[in-house]
Amino acid sequence: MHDIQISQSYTIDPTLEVFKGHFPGAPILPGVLILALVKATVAEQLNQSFNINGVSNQKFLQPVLPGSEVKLELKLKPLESTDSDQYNVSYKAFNAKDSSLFAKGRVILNSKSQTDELAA
Amino acid sequence: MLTQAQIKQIIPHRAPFLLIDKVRLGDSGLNGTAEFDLNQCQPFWQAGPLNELMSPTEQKEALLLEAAAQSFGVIVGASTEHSEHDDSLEHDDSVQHLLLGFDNVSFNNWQQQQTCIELNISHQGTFGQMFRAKFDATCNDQLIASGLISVMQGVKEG
Repeated sequence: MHDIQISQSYTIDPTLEVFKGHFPGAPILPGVLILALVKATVAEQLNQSFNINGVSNQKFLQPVLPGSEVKLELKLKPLESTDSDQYNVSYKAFNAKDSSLFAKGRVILNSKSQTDELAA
Repeated sequence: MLTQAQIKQIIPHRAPFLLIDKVRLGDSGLNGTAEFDLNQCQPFWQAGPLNELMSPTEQKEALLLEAAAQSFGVIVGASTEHSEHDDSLEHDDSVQHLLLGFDNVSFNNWQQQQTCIELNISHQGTFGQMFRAKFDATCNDQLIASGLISVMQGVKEG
């Protein structure tokens, strides 16, 4: 299995409901939702559903403001010791405006079918 | 035991993104326990590309991590902004707690029906204004996630 590289950009809609509570008068996208975005991007690209199995070296470096354009760059390494449906995903989330880093980290994703089998 | 009303005096999070209901401060140090109900997380994606990609239930791991961050923010805020005998919990708006990151997080076959979660937070170290803690998330005494969390206490400019 070869490594997979994915690049995807998102504009953060300023009308998202989450901004009402995070935070009133000073809206910032919750950093953890970048992790959810990483998972969703991989799921869309590979046409599979995933659970997050692990997170490491996760750093939030600057706030993502409403209307920001977030460019995700992902490197997926299939974990051969387990199953091709488990990926070690290194990611960087850039501010497309000036190429500065919003966040970076590493996420282990398990395909949902594999997770369900383990739980059974 | 801090209620949500008291929690709101310590951290700036509000509905629909105030995820924790109660926090019990530990007897000593920056430790404590919080309660988090995934079912009570209101859907907060209204529109836009994010909504097309995932439903709120698809974000459960992120929400649990956020709940851990909010819990630790409350514990740090309650301990550093207020004295032991200060029951007012009046929030100092100039002080804020920023989520710096996570490490060594693992999820252990978290099942869909496991929605009522207890978060145990134990302080690991303080480095200047940075605070680090270990969290364990359990449901019915079954460990569903654990990891390290770092927050920084800062003072707003202006």
